[in-house]
Amino acid sequence: MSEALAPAVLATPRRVTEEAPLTRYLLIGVAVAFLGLFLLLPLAAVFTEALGKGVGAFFATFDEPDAVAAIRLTLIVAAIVVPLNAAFGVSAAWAIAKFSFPGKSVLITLIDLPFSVSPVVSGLVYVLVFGAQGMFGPFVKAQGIQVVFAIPGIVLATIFVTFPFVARELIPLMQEQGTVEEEAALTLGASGFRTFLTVTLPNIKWGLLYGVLLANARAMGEFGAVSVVSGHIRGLTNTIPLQVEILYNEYNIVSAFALASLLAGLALVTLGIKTLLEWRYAGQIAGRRRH
Amino acid sequence: MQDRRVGFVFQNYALFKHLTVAENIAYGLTVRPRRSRPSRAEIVERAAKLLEFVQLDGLGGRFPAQLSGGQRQRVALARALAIEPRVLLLDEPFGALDARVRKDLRRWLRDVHRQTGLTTVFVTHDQDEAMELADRVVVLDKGRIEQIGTPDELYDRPASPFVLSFVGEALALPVQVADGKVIFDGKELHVSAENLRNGPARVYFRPADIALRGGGIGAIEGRVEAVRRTAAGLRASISIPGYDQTLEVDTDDREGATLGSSVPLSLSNVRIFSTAEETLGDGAGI
Amino acid sequence: MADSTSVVKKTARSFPAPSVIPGFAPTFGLTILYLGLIVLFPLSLLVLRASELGLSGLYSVATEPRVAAALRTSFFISFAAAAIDVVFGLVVAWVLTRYEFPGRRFLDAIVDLPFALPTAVAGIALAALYAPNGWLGAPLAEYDVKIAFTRWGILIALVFVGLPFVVRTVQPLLAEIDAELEEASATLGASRAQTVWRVLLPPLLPALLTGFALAFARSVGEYGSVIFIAGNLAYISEIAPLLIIVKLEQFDYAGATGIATIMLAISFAVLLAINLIQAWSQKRFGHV
Repeated sequence: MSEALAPAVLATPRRVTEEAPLTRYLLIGVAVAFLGLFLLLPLAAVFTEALGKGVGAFFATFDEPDAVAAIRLTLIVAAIVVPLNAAFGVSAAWAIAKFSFPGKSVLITLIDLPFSVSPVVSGLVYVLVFGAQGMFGPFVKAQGIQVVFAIPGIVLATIFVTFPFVARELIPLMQEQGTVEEEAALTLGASGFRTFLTVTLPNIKWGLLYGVLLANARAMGEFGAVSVVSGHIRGLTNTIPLQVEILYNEYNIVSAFALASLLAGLALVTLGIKTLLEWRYAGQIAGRRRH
Repeated sequence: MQDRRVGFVFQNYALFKHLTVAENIAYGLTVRPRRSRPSRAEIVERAAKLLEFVQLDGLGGRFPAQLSGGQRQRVALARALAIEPRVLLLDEPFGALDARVRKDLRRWLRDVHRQTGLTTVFVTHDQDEAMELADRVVVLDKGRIEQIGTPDELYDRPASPFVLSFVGEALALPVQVADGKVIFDGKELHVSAENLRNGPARVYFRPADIALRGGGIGAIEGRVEAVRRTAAGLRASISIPGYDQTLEVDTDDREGATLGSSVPLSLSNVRIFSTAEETLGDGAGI
Repeated sequence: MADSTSVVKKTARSFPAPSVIPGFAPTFGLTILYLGLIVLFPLSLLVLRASELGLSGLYSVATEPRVAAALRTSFFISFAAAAIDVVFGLVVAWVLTRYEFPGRRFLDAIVDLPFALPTAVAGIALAALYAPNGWLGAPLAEYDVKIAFTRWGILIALVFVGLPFVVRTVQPLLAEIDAELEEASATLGASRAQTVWRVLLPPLLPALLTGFALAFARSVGEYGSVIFIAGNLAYISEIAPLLIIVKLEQFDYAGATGIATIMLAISFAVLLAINLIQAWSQKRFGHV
């Protein structure tokens, strides 16, 4: 019996939990080809087209006043939107993760809602609120404030589409960490806010950074929602993606791709830091399922 | 491996969660090449029979997640039996179960073994399980075979200190071997050490083989450190000069076991093994 | 007995459950306020406007030939793209999780590119690639295959957009597969193909369906990466989100609202489907 058994276990030509090498190479080939065709090639195309007429033409793009204005507007919008959503995310995660109350799962679902809404619809709802025929359109107009086709509309639409990023990253993370450490700090006499700063924040900082990173990438790159509310006014309400569209439609290919390469670079940096965070601080990030 | 017809049962059951109990059991039959695959009706019947055999009739439509640990392990066994193995290999099958269920399943497994008559290899860390179930036990330590034998042989003639302490509680008295003589605390013990080389050795004995009287391997004196009343008689804690552990000895001799007194200790059924390299030496006690 | 019930009642009544942690009122209040102002109020206004249209109004918007064509285009091409993503997403997830090969880590990171790359950038890049003079468009044109400015272009863009949803939903499950299951299957006489097909893949079904639903939902609403490559021919390659913008530009707010409401309903239906899939999976496999 032992003679029959031992060779079977020790001398199996290949582990039973693996495919034949040929199958393996075939599958790897299919995966690499698919990712190459659908992800890497478009990425490469951005940079190639941007540099298609040389480095000079590439940099000339960034001397255009419209391009400069678009970059400035994008930075301003991100500078408003990301901190707001980060503050909201932390606050929502605190209320949801550190307390128990009825209706919690409904609240979480509602926070996730903007992810399931088409960007165009996200923009449209603000037109319905603040547009000329909108509910508050006449009111804001009377106050001398322009929302739609102006920066406030762009900011609102961007807040909407990036709304869940920080919260949905922090909620599971803080739920996992529980309240024991906070309770300990409170019994030692720390104030609530101090407890948050010295106990909670250090525990969630990488998760917070992760969420902020993704929210920022989306805020700077949002196209559909912003497209609806911006009015495409050159030099005034065009963010980088909108400027890219205009340049592309005017067949100003090099400039369009030069500006696009800026966003593609941002995406690569985001992916790089994201991967680094996942790799180094896997335990301090809630996970990377669904965005 | 499938050609060798070895039925495996895994510690964590390894049941297919997406298949029902009956489908799990039938799996090995349904994956056969069409030529040798039984008909659908036959497979269903075989699965039903096996379910009955492992006393789970009526649960064929459940999913593994709806069963208890003991039930899952029985499904795993039925699944392994379905391929009509020539050898059954159980890899710590009861490792994930609680003590009471283990005991029940142990008894049940012996019945199964009797009914099927299959050669069964049973891997376990639990010596009670091994001693109770096995006809032959192979004791492995760090991948090396220490001894192969019946449970009686392991218990009565352990081949190494590892086997000795593995099959039951054992105490060890450090001794010196000099030219076939065994010296403890300057006195010679009546233990034969013919095959042992000179140098340090250990005399092993079981707690049940200590008595408060003369005789045995002789020449051991202890001091009564404490005496406690037990249901049957007395339990004395005895210290021995030159030995760092206190022995607990049951006795009914009230006179002999007075606190502080010196008493003769009798050790029987001892085994002696050289300490330097654990070579086996057969030292027979009296 | 009487004591314990009164305690239960008391905790049930207090909101939130008693806790020594401070700060519930301000954080919860801020959350509700912000959520209400930014998300719930505007969305409910959309629903309100739609309800003013009434069911018959919505029906007439949806059956307007151009709208119906755009909805059909969005729906069917999204469905096809999500199906392609399921097949290739599974292969990609399998390869990235189970095989070791040079560049694996890089490819694993790059899977998230469609999440990180702004849609407009993806859109012009795909359009440039598949245009008749592009890297891929030119060789394909020799065989009279046109991708850009046709429905095929929409399909390509939506496959790009949906891929990470499938990969990232399936990957964690693939990583958790217990090798003992594969060994058990092999000892029972199954070939490797049988083990993969009958033991490894079926438990992935809920995750694949969830990934499909997520990719589909995203694809139906996708705008930026599609419009550059689609050609946007009314009745042929015009997608529903684009038509919302077209309607807005024509000041047809009712039409835009109608299409948006239908798309919102699709989103909610998909969300519901995902929850049902997960409830079913939980019940059947004891895990999600």
